[in-house]
Amino acid sequence: MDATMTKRKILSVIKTVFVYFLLILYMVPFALVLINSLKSKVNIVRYPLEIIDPNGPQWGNYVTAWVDMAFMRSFMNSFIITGCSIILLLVFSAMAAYLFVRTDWKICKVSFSVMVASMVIPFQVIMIPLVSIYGAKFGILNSKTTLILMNFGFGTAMCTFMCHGFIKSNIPMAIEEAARIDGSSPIGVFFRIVFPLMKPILSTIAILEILGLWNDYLLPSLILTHKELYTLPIAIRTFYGSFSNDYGNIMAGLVMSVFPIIVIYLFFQKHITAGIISGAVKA
Amino acid sequence: MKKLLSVLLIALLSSFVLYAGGSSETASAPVATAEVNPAIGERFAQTVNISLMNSKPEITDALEEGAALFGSTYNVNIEVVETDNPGLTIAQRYASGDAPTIAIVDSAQVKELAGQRIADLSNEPWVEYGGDVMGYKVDGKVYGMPLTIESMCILYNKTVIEDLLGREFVPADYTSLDQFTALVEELVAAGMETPVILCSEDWALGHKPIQYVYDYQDGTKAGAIAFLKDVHDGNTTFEDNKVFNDVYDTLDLFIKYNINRDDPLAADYDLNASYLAEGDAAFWVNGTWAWPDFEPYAVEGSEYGILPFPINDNPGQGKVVVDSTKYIVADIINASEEQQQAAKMFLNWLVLDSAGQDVLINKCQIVTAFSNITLPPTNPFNLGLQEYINAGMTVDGASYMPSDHRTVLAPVMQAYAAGEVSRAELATALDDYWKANLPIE
Amino acid sequence: MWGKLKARQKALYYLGFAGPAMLFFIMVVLVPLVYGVYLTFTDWNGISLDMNFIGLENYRQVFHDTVFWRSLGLTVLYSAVAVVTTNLVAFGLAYLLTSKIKGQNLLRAGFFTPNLIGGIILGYIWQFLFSRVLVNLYDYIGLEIFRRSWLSSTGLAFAALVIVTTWQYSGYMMLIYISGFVGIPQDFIEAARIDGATDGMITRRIRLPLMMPSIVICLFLSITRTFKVYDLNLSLTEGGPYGTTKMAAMHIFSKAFEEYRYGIGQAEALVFFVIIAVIALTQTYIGKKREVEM
Repeated sequence: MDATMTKRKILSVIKTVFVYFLLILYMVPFALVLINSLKSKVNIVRYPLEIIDPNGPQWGNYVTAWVDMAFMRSFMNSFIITGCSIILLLVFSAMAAYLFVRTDWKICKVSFSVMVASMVIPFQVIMIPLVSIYGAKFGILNSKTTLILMNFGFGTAMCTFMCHGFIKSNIPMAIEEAARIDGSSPIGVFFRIVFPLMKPILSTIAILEILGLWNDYLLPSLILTHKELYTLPIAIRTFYGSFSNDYGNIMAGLVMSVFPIIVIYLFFQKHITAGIISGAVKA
Repeated sequence: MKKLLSVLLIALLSSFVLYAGGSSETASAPVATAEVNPAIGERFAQTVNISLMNSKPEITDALEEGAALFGSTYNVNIEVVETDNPGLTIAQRYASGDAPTIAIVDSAQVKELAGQRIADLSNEPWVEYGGDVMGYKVDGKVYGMPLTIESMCILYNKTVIEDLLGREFVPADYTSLDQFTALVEELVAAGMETPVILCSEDWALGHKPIQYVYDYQDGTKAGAIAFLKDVHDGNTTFEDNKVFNDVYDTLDLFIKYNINRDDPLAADYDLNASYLAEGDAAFWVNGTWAWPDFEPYAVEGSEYGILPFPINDNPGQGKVVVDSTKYIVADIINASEEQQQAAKMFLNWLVLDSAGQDVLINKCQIVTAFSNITLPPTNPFNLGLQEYINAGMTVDGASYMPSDHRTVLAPVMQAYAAGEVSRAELATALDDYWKANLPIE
Repeated sequence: MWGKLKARQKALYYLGFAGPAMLFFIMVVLVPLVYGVYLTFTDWNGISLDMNFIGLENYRQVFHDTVFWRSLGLTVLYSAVAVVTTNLVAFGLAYLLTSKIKGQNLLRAGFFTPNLIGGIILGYIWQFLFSRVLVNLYDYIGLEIFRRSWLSSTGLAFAALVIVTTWQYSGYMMLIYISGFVGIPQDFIEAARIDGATDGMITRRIRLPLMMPSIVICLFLSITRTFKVYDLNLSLTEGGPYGTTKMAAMHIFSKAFEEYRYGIGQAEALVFFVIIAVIALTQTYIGKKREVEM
């Protein structure tokens, strides 16, 4: 008995060491970004592994990045666009998924299948048609509202898919039926009973979508061409040159734009692992 | 947890409110105003808003400064936006009905846009000062105003060469391959093991070397096109072409003495700049456009300059390749009459007004195509280029390749530089390409 | 409660619940998709005002574009390798992280962080790491494999793409697998252990079958993502060395916007789409079937 105990203990120590070693490997690129965000371009290029710039930490990178990216303005744009898109996505995708799970109407089945199938469409296929239609024909580009609604349209398939799985396997019909007898309308039942029960999957979707939207470059760059509308990822691109990039500024800008995401992530962390895709898994 | 969620919800909702509240902060710093120049035009009574798409990122700041100065003088608000992929961006912007009023693009885009989307600039005042020669023309009409003249050439570090040789370095003495080879070997003997720097990028290592073959056929665009047509018709091949072999003899020398020869395709552009600047090597096969990226590495007190591509017995020997590389075009599809007028005024201002010339030459740091501008260029590479131009020692750069020339052929040349493809195979790839394509005149 | 409704009521509920999502989904995904299909039958070059109907000519050109088919083959290979490595690593991590190791939250957060940074920038960081940092590391430790940049040799550049992909997605997939592991009833495993089953047997006969739903979803997500790879391809290898790692999406982009053959590029994109759809959906179908059988 003792022998097996020690054997297990040793095994678990090995596992732990291995996992933490892997974790450090995973973190290397981030450490590099952080270190090099405080170095001058010349030193980043010549001595990428030096921890401190020979001329001391180059806080100037952060100042330049802050000013050139118009950080506050870009941050607010990113924040508003991400925030509004998320609310639309969560509420309406959950509603659609609820209907798709609880009914066996043909139209619902078709709608849901089309949504799932659409998840494999490469964005390149619709990129130019999209701007031709909404730019040249309707002239509604260069507006945050347009981008928010498009984010909603593009994201809703994935969100509905995930909510669908969750409702199907985790929300018992019995509760709803009880409420129904009490005389609530379907909308009332949904918002008073079902929606709150979906908290785990909704926070999972929220964090995944927030990450995606916050970092998105291609779609916003197509829709927003005026500077005052730029989001953080578009603003950071100004440090890319034709032949060489301003690495110091890029890394400083990166640290500043990832920071809010990390805060949000830590905030959601518990839910993510709890709710995890428990829905999607059983879809 | 519930509390946290509600906090988040409030944060998100507040974003809606912020959004609805709208943020119209247009706090613009006071900008200097220049004199209204009647030759350019009148100041607009009402502010005209136009946009400028710049595909030459290193001059964005300078352009913004210029745009602000012009804007406050003539009451025009110019928004400068930047792109590193003009082909993609211009297609997107035209597709979305939101084309930039003014766009700085490459020749490929001018060709696609001419005749339908952009203004015929043939009657603009700057045409007579060289716009006619260096501008991009389609069917005899000028559609692209030349922004800058650049040269692909050999950049050198004069200081380190003279230190090693112990005598004055006179570039004119090393224009043939034989002379240049002797020079390189002398440098090697003096302790510089690898005096040449080659880039690794597909445009630099893949595309430019092939262009040298066209450029030095007889030094003229017509001569190069005639050769390519001969290849197309099957009358000759690259392998039989003397210039092709001469150019590749020179390239072989570069490849042999490349500072990055252990790993030629991993060369880093910035590292290359620092090699030349600090004298780790003496020659960088690149072009005058490298200055803005080179400048941060330049060593105080060191002298730098440009050399023509060394080649044996060639009419172009001792001459540098010169080409207008970026063009300015003005939209006529989405721009109103007034915006089009403002755009043309801005172009005129850059060439004809002293404040505009200052922006072009001293802020954007370019070599201009316009003969009426007498300001000297600002950096060593451009000063060198200007001397060659003034002395008439130039050959025409290649601008007649179809749009897939680079994507098809650059990888083959990169493979040649890495020793994966032989000269004969490369020649065959070039033959095949030109048999299927014709140069664009 | 949805049982006996009149058609009019059904329509109202459909519009009320699914209406907003479906409306915007159709407007931004389906409508442009249909218009995009239409464009493949024209000779539009992406920029000019001329647009003529040319029937199936673009598809004929796609058929003859050998570079496209080669890039597609490469994409299939890349996707196959990356899907396997990503899922193996993710599965392994999930297994380790559910086996009572201290600091679960930290570890989960840590392995998930690569998802915090977007595609293009991430590629630049790794490009910097492969071409500069590792080569610099060679100067310190002299490990032969780091002497030359991985990005300048065909095989290693491909490996670099796979490594970065694995790094990026394994944390995400790991979370899905963790939920699968957590869902396995502990008494099953205890019972098996009492019957004398080894760890390997337990994994093979109990864990794997019960994990099928997680595996199906992870495969679906990783296949579709790796197939569509563009940002990473562009910023990490730029298709190099000498064009040997240019994947389908990148080829399509340069066809449409650098060579001005929009119609062909769009047609290639559609062919590409159909192939991904067939692979991803077949995989899901087979996976689901196995789930039912077990």
